[in-house]
Amino acid sequence: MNFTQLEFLCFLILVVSIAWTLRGRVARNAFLLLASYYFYAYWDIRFCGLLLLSTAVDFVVAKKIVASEVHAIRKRWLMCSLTVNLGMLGLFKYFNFFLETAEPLVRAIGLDASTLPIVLPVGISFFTFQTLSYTIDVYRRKMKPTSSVLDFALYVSFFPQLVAGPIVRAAHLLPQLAVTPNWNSKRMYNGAQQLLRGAVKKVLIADHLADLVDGVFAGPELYHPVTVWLAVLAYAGQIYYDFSGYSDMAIGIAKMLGYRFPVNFRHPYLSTSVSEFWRRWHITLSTWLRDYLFIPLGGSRGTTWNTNRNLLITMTLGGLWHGAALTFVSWGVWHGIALIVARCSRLRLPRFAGWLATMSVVLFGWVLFRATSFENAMVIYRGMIGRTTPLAVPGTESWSVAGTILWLPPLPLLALACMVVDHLVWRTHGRRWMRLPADRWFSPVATAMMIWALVLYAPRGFRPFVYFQF
Amino acid sequence: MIARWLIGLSLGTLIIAATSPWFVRSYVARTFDDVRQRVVLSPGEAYRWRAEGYATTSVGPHGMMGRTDMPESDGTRVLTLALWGDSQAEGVSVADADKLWYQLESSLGERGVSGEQNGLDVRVLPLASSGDDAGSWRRQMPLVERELNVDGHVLLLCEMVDLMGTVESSDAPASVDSVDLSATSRLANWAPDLAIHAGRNLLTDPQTTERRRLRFRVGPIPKTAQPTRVTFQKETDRVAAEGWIIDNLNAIRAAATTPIWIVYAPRCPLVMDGKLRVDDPDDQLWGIVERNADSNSFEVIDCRDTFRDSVASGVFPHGFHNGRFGNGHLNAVGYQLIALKFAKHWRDAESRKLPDESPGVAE
Repeated sequence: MNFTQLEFLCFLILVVSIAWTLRGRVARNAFLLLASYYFYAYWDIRFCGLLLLSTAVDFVVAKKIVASEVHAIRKRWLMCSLTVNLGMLGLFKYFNFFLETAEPLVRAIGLDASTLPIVLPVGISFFTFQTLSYTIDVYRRKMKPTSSVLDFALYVSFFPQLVAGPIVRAAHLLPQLAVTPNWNSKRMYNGAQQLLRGAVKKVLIADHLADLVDGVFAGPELYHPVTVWLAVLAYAGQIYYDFSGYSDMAIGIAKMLGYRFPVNFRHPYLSTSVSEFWRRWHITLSTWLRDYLFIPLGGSRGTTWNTNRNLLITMTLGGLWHGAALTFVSWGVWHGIALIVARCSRLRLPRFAGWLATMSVVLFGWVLFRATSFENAMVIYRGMIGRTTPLAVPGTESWSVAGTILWLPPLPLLALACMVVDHLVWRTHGRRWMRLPADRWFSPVATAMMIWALVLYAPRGFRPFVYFQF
Repeated sequence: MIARWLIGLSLGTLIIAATSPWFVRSYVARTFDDVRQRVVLSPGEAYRWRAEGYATTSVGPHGMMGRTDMPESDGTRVLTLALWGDSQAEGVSVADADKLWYQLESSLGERGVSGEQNGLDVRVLPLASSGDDAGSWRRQMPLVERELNVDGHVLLLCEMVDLMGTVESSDAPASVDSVDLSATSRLANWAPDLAIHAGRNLLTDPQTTERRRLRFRVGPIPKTAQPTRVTFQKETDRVAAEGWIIDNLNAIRAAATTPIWIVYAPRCPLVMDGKLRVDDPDDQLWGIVERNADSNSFEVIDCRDTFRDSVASGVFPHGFHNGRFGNGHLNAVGYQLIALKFAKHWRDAESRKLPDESPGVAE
């Protein structure tokens, strides 16, 4: 069930209404758990088995870890959790990828290299990381395991963040689930506004930008370099507004139910360095990778070489987390190299130059991220520097920049303009500019406009969230 | 607070209503046309298209798209052609002066730079409608021949499936009572476009445009593959297709008493999934039409090579560069190419005949 479907709206209204009428924490959490499993089963009821397995293993493992003071036993239980969770991830997400990559080797030793017909369960990368963080935190004695299997099961499957994050740590959400939230109309209003804002980001900006992106990325050699650049820029916008829109919706829904989720994005395209970009982009994943991968690898405590190696490993695995394809791995490596270069050069660029350099790195990376193959990425790069022979637009000169732009559809162009305005205003006003306090005159005007625009201007055809595939 | 919100919500709605014509298509009321015996868009209305191309079309008499007059002959040589087809021939994506009917008149009439007439006085009646096929053309042909003095019919065939419907035994003309003027049409008389559009978006399935059905059943939901093109899996398929096409051609021939030109203008070449496809997958089907043209006294005009030459020179006859580059509906270039090809065919045929023997030309 997608957050932008009418079915979800019905589901949400029902769930929020019933959740606030239920008295008692256990009844409320049990109902939310049921709703969350239904939400997940809407895609495929068989996926629920994975959720159950992950929940059961990590609940038991955490108990076993706490029950023992012997380091070897504790470690053995941790390995058990890692094996189950990463094994599940490896089988469902990476098995075919590794088999395809190693096909020549597999064939050489006389084995059958045919891939398995495996369906990727939605959100598996997210909930496995969540449950892992719980077990690792318990192992590190950073938190006590919960005694309530109900709370833990709800933590793993809580529907607002189940399929595409934010990756909420157990230490953040479990304490909230352990108490009954109080009704707060202001929080409900703010949650609904954030939900609406997220839907606008996803449906009106990201999905319209996708129209432009899909057309150009499918055949970049047909287009004028200006169009190719606009499409790459549009993809940067699409992925940001798609994912941050989803995060806003998830955070808004959690607020409506009385819970707080961490912030996941802070306008990353305003960053003036690559490291700042990673402090603003998909924050819950960046911090997860930092705390559970980079630091255990040694972090920045050792020599420069060790630190760089750790950075590269972390970013490469971060790339692999996104998808089972070499283009995603290359995207991770590319960002790892950029971080290493920035770290080693210790160059202090002026703000604008820093922003320009960062955006260049990011846009170059997005081409790899979006491309269907290396060949496709290369054609896009060639298109960006005018090394293709684009076809003429009817009624215009082949190389007329104005003609090329004028022939682009108005709604994606408008979405692109919205993206620029959003970033410029956010730079000066910060988070205030997106707030719509209930007692201000412009709030109902903006609310009506957003609702009408969603109904009228949503592109025909269903587009799932980009991050659902991860 | 409540008053502030009510006023604010109304103001927000007004802002959207005022700006919506830039982005929302119009919904024009329909009416029953006695001559064509069918429901058409109401004459005098303007039809605003916003999905592909961003033109506004004036609706003329008998629901003609883009032609607002029924020009009278000045007494010299006059040729009246009826243009039939589906949405590709209707041409709501382009301005009226770029539509096929206008381009045909220009090409056949050899209009000068300032619009003066140098050649034949041709009037083309754009009678094509979105969703029409051989059945609907056939039903209207005798009616317009009788009522509108049509001298010939031009069938713009863009999808072979339009010639593959079953030929009904009874072709009784519809009466106004039996015609369903849809709810949308009745609504269009009084409701604003944005309200109809909003209702349509909420109530219809975006993929199929049928009534939206909400699903609350858990997954997985098996996907049913929808065949989009006629393919010859077996010899029997080919024989069946040939049968349908021949039946339709015979029925069309029987319906009309004046000459018929079939202009084949498929989406070919086509950009699909970023790849340029030059071959026409319906080539075999078109071959059936060509083989049966003489026996039915049809003249056939194949635009595929003209389109291929255009694409080779870098200009696509289809699509609007808006994510449907080289795909979708015919654009102004496409219509111009078809019109020029038709005019060339016409002149070649004329040069082989005496002037007064030209088909359908009246003094």
